[in-house]
Amino acid sequence: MNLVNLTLLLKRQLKEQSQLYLLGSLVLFGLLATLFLIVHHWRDSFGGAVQNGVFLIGLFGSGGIFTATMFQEFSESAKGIWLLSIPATAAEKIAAAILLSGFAFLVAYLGIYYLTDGLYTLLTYQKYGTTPLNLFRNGFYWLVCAYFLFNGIILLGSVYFTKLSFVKTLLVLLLVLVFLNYANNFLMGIISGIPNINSSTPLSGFQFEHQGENIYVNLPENIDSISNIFARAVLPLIFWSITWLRFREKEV
Amino acid sequence: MKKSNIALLGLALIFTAGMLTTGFILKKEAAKINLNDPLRNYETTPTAAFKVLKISGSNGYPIHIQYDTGNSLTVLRRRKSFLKAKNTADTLEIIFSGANIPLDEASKNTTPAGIIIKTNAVNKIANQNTFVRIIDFRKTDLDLALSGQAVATFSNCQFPALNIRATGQSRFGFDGQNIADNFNLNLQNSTIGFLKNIQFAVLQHQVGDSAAVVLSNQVMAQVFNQGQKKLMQPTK
Amino acid sequence: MIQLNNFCYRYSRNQELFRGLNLTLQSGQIYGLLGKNGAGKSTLIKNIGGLLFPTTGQVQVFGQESRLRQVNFLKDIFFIPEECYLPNLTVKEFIQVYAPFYPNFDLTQYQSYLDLFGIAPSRKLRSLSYGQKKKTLIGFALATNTRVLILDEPTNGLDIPAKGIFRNMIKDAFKPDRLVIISSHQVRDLDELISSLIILDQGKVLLHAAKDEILQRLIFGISPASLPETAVLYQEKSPAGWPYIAKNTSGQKTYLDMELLFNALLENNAALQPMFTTNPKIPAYELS
Repeated sequence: MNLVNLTLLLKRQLKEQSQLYLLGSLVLFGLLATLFLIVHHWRDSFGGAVQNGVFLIGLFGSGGIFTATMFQEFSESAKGIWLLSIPATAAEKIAAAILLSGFAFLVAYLGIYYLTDGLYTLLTYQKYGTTPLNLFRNGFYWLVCAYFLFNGIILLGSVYFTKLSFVKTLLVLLLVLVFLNYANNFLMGIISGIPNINSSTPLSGFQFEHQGENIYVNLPENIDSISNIFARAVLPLIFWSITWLRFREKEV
Repeated sequence: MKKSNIALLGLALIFTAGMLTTGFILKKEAAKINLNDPLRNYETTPTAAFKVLKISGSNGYPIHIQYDTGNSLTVLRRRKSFLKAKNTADTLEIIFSGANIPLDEASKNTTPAGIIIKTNAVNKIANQNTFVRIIDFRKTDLDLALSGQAVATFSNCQFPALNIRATGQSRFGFDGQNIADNFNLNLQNSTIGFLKNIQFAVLQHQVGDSAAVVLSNQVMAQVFNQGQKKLMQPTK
Repeated sequence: MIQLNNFCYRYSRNQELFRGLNLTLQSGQIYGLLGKNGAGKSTLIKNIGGLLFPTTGQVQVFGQESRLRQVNFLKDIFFIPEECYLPNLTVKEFIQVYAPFYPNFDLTQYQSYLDLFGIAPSRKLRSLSYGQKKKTLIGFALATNTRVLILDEPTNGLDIPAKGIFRNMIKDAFKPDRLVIISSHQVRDLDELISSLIILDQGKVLLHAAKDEILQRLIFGISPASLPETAVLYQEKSPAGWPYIAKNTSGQKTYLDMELLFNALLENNAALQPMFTTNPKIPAYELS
């Protein structure tokens, strides 16, 4: 990995897309403010942790779109040739994309989010005692870590698919999740011999019905920790690595 | 086949293997559950005796504090990862975070207890932001401090002396039949005390400007009757 | 030097384009890659540029395998596709961003091209006309001083004066250590520019020879009337008469009519092919 090349690639992306990023930031601010307005206006319908909800919708929505633009060059042959011909390794090009869409975006998003959240808090504190969202309360930051996994999946999709990569990736992701849910229920039923499994989470646990009550079965703590580390830290790394492999194999 | 496709296939295999492995582990865990036990969704761990109980967090599942012969901590299995408990000297400190269930859910009868704490020695409870139910306390004095958005309800308790200090936006109330011989109230900020289903011999109170006390018919009669006998003694 | 060893390329399992192709391209040459639409020109140059991968076999550029797209390989090759792309930058920003990737980039050289085209550095690349964009890109490619330059249909979309400018730019920037491949079906645009010819048809190389070698073996002429079949290798009717190709027995050097040779090879392959079966003799390229 050549740091000079990496810097040049980051500079390239920022210079070429600066206008778009600036406008995008304004749009994001507007959308978050609108979401806050909606949840505040219809606050009876949106009970609970509305700030967390707005944060996640904004993060995954805008982060997904932003990540999908990292390799938008592949949607057109001439642009794809241009990107592949830039004298830098595939690893450097992928690293630049991860740095921008994974880390830099997260920092920028936090800035924009807290700006809107600050305004929301300012306007609602007196009447409703609203305080700014605390990312470290209730282990919420783990969900933020899930953004890296989402980033890896969208990035891979943008190299895999040529046209409409974001939509196609989301569709595949949805299908895989639905399939995994049913497959895991089925598998748990066969392995455990329990007939009334009504819900399960792969690599985590399941619940079954007993005399009208849901009984929960979870992994022992240490294994659950390993499973969590796999999902939140190892899986993003795996997806980023597969993106790198796919990028090396990319033909235009 | 392209290396990236092989890698994806490998990932699918690893995931499947993981699902199978966890499936067998979960089978063992499921076998440990006694389906005839009313607390089958809970896991119990004994804990050292404590006199002070500090609870904080924001979990929407209520916390039951029951007076009993022994000391133990029983937690809803699927909320176990959100519980942090620490024993120091005569203090048990509990942080019950996560879930992101609104606190309002806790008051519903359909919401199961997140934690059941059994104790035989506690006389001081500090609750910040969680919903606690204090159940079956007999013949013991209790100091209760509520802060933040804490909520406390008492069920069928008898206290020689009950001292409640509420701050922030905390609330408290009573269910069933409760007796506090010496009832000492200190309500500050935007706190609310619901005085219903409680009998007391002496009521001492200190209530801030924004705090509120809601009285039931029976309690109001008690207050006025006993007030004439000068048993109600404002401290401020 | 570019080397294709036992090069095979398939679009799909049932659709094969190249099979077992061996080809060597030398530095100091400007190759004209000719062929009908679908002959495999773009596929071949994309394989050389590392943008497509051979199904089997190897493509090497100065000893580096194209498909690996290593940084040193990418620093030594510039590929200009038919539909060229330029990012949303001003000319000045474009240079600031992309020139550092190329160690041999010559700013003075590029400046001279911009002066020639009359394009100010503050101009947005996206605001340029198609022809201006193409010239800007070709100018940039030449200024990078990569050893290999590949141009796919470079004269498409250029007006007549621009085609002249294009030819001059290539000629002026050409150096003996450079290798230029120009893929085109507009043979007349490349007439005076190229030093060697590669004619492709249905994934096969019909001809790979230096211009000089072709002229040593063939003469090109035009007759007012049709000539006897025994006297010529190929002839066709045109508005000006009957252009023909015959064996060069006199050592006479004529003007190479590439379009006629192209048509002859496609239609009269059997008669012409044996004349170029030996390995091509590569002359030193001389600029006229």
